[in-house]
Amino acid sequence: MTALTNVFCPNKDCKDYGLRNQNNIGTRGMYGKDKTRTLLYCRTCGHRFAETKCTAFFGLHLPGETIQQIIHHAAEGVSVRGTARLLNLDKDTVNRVILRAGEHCALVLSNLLHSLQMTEVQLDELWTFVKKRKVLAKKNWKRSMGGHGSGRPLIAQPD
Amino acid sequence: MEKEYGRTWIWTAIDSTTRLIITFLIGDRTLEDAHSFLKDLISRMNEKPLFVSDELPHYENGLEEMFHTLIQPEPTGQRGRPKNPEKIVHEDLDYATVHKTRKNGCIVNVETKVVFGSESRIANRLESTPSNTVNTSFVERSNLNWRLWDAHLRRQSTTFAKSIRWLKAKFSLVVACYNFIRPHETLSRQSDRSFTPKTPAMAAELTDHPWSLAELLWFPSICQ
Repeated sequence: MTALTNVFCPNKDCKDYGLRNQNNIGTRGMYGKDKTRTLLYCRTCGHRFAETKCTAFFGLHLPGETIQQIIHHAAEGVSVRGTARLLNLDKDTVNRVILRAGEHCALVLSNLLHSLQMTEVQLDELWTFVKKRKVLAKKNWKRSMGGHGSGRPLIAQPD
Repeated sequence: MEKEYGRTWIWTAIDSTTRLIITFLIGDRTLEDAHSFLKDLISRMNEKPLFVSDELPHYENGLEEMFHTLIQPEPTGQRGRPKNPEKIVHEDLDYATVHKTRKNGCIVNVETKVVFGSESRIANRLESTPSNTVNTSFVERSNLNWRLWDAHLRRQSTTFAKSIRWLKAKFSLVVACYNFIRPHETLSRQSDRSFTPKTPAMAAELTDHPWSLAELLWFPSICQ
């Protein structure tokens, strides 16, 4: 787990919300099926929260080591299905973990990269491609399907 | 409705001294996205650095929008509508571009052009950076990194992104690993060729050690 100095109170009503190194975070014992998870609390507001709160592990049931392996594969350019085959997991599981960790990394970057002293900044843009879906391209189809299914509507719905 | 398919562009900004990816934006190659990207980039820096890019006019337009003062011209004393205010770009803004001429796909000539600022001041700034001339080599090299490390960005393969949400997430993941975890070869290699692991974040004095993957994933963060 992370050092307590990096942890902050996730309670939005607390006056120490989002502030690190306030010496307001303590441990409140262990919880879970095998008593393996640490429960933290904020001395300022008394709010209790899981140690995984605001991290990439929150709400995921996979072992931490497996999650790290998935992220390691993803960051080395291994495809999703390749990762799933290597770790004997389902591709949807791999996708879910990558999405959670990626959005967490975006927040970490956003929080840490500020007030920088830079000398020469080079700018460029990189081309890439996201799959085109005909279903998405035709608005009428999407509306008539109600966002579900994969085929055309069988009957035209009168408005 | 956000466009979620077809061609997409990733705007990136890298500092040549620390090799730090300061920010990135995934969107279209439009003026609107260029403005959002530059606004985010500038908000992350204390001082104006030297900006270098290719010949895309969006950067010039965006920088002009960010760093200008509106000056109202003196009334002429004649009849008619008063003149519109003039945009005066800040004097301390330095921006240069690189123009590449290609022939049959090969670069045959490279020209540089100072858009904002003076040539002498830009030359002075370049003395304190690894670049000896105005160039975009560092950011072009980083583009290769993303192509290698992000399966979604690989050319001519079936691992292209199926959703823009995943593209953003995976690219963030790769950039975070690059900034905080991977030791950079040039930064780590000392003058006597010994290797001391040093990441771009260490060079920018954001951290004092290369992070592990667990450290990155365990680092609590919240949307601010």
